[in-house]
Amino acid sequence: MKKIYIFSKNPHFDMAKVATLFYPEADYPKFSFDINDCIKGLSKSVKLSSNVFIHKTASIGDNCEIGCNSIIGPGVKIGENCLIGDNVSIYFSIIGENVKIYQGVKIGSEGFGFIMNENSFKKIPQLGRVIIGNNVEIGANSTIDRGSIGDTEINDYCMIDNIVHLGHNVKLGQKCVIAAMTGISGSTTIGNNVMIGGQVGISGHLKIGNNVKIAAKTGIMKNIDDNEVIAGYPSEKIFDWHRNTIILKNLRQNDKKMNLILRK
Amino acid sequence: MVDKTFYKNAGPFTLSKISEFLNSKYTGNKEKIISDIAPVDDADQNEICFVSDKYKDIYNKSDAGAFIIKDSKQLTNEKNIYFF
Repeated sequence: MKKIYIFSKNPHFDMAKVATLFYPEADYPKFSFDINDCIKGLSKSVKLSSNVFIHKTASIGDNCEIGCNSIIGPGVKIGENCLIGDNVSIYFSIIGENVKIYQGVKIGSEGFGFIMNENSFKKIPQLGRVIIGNNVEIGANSTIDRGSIGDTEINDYCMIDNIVHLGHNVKLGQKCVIAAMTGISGSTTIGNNVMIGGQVGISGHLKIGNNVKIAAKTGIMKNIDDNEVIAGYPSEKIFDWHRNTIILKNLRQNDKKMNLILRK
Repeated sequence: MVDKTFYKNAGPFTLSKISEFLNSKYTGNKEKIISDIAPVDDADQNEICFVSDKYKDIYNKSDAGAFIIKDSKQLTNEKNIYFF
């Protein structure tokens, strides 16, 4: 079949414009709701604290518990037996069963997507969702952006610590563990059983294999194969990284010896 | 494909309407109807997507309704500045 083309100087910029043409309201989402938008007649098994706002188009499964000042936005689906802490806000998300979301978590916030054209920035409308599997735990004050086009996905049995940021269109495999203050940039795909230490930074559009272990403070800028253990900035195999630090240490000690010799 | 429960679609639009909006040239039938936007690897007959250097391998296999493509008709190695 013959392909149809639209010619453009900057395709990405024009795609953002077309997205605003199709979805004029999506440039920035709506946050103002009134009391009539609130849900009525929730199942009695759902425990709600004071000042919770749940939009009338959202659906909450049985036996859920929701803390004070939490907000569940329009269209959000939450499965059974979920625990949602205080000050949580959830937008544009579909959440599975037995999920625990602790205090201050923000799910479905704006992805950091904009494009530069000559002398201005154009925001790329964020039209995706956040899909969270079953038995996931998300620690306090973590933030998960929704996808730009496509979804941000967190699969079953993932454990996420406090203050973790997941960018838009990130895909987490099953049974991943992420320690605090880790940041994962947009469109990075992470395999199953990956363990990530504290303060790890991962660049965008990367593929990280299954069973990878990443030491704390690692900075990742390239794809990682299955079963690797990596550390350091820029990231390398942990064995090489240990060697490098020892070499550096020896270098310094040699330097001290040299200075002593020179002084004599 | 964008989830209609979360986002309201103002479409569909014809190809000529879209290219008029972008102020750019196009090939093919001007009455062609485009109903949604999609990523290049996931787009179907009624959806529009864009092609950049990053996606030049998968775009040949894609059967999207329309592609927004760089002026020169050929995908070059020139890097755009993206922020993600």
